[in-house]
Amino acid sequence: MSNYGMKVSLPGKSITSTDARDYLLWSKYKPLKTYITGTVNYTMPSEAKSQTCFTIATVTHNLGYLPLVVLFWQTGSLSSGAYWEAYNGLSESAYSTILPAAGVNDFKIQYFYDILVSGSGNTGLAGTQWTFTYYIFIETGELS
Amino acid sequence: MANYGAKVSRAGYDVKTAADHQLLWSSSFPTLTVAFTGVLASGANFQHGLGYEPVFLAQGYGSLSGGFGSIDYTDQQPRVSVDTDKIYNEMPDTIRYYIFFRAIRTSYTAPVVNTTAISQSAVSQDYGFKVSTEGVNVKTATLANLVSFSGLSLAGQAVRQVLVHQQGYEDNIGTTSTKTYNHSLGYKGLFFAYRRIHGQSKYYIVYTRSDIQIPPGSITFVYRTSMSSSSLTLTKSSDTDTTDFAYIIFKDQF
Repeated sequence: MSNYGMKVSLPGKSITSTDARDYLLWSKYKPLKTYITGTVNYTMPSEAKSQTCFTIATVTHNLGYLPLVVLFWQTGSLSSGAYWEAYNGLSESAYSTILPAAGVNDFKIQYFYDILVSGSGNTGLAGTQWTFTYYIFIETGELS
Repeated sequence: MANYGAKVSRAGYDVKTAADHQLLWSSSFPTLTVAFTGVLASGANFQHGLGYEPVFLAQGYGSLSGGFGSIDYTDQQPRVSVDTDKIYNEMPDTIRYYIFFRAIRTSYTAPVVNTTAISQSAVSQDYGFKVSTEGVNVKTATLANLVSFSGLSLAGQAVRQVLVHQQGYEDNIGTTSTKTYNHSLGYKGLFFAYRRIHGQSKYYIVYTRSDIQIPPGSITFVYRTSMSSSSLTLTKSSDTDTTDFAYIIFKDQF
């Protein structure tokens, strides 16, 4: 079978190179492709919860398979301004956890915490403003 | 020297005036090309044999959330890693991994051609640029089997390949340190970060490690990566190791 397709090399790199790192596009290989990206603003609830996993937001993607996802978060509760922080899962033994949860047709941002959010004398995270940015990729995240 | 090459804009954007991050691709900017993907059982490894530590992503099942995306880990840090030869799953569960043809230890800054975003026009006709992967009919290929596609996703957003803007790495960072790496995007860009214990071979993805201390509301971070419109910052506190750190920043905008 003939070897045909499309190749675009990067600046200064030969189009005859056999190193895939030298190419922007080579039809032999797929690039990482974003499908949906977005931002969610959220205020942490004031009611006390314990051992609870609840959904902050649900994004419908309807891909029909589990996609690769990446989630970032930012909280205004920290001093010196707000930051975006890479976040894609956390130990289940932690006190507080942001959980990205991709499904076959939707993606949930979930929050699990094992502490009382509010109470007498505790500042907690209640009322704090959080912002999440998510990337849902076309590439599958299926485990089979 | 003349500026020549090829570029394709995304649906609804004029290729002559689109900002860098509004392009589907440009021969001026590298992208992340998938070298290998697969599934690894707990304790298993896969030999990529690339001869360099590759940029990678991984995800698994989170028993707390009941969904996929979380990587469970011990010591509050993810336990999926790469060296110059293999990728390792040290998690208690199966993971899906992606290995890319791009070295973690790369110093690179893309040219900034245009950061002024333009408005997206309505897409009234289905035309553009589409390349399928080997052996797949371009007329019937699914999005997953396209190498490049300038059109819209089923969700109405433009499908795009992530474009690399900047990479860098620094070795032997102290146990308590703040390192700032400036970029010229003028906005917050998508990024991934990797670390390894100095003197060891395996790079791990950096996810912010946090402890919500008792009483509630006190947040302590050990590793913290944060992006602003001008820089990426690594903050380490109370760590027991010196660290090699690497990052990759994309033109994709938060």
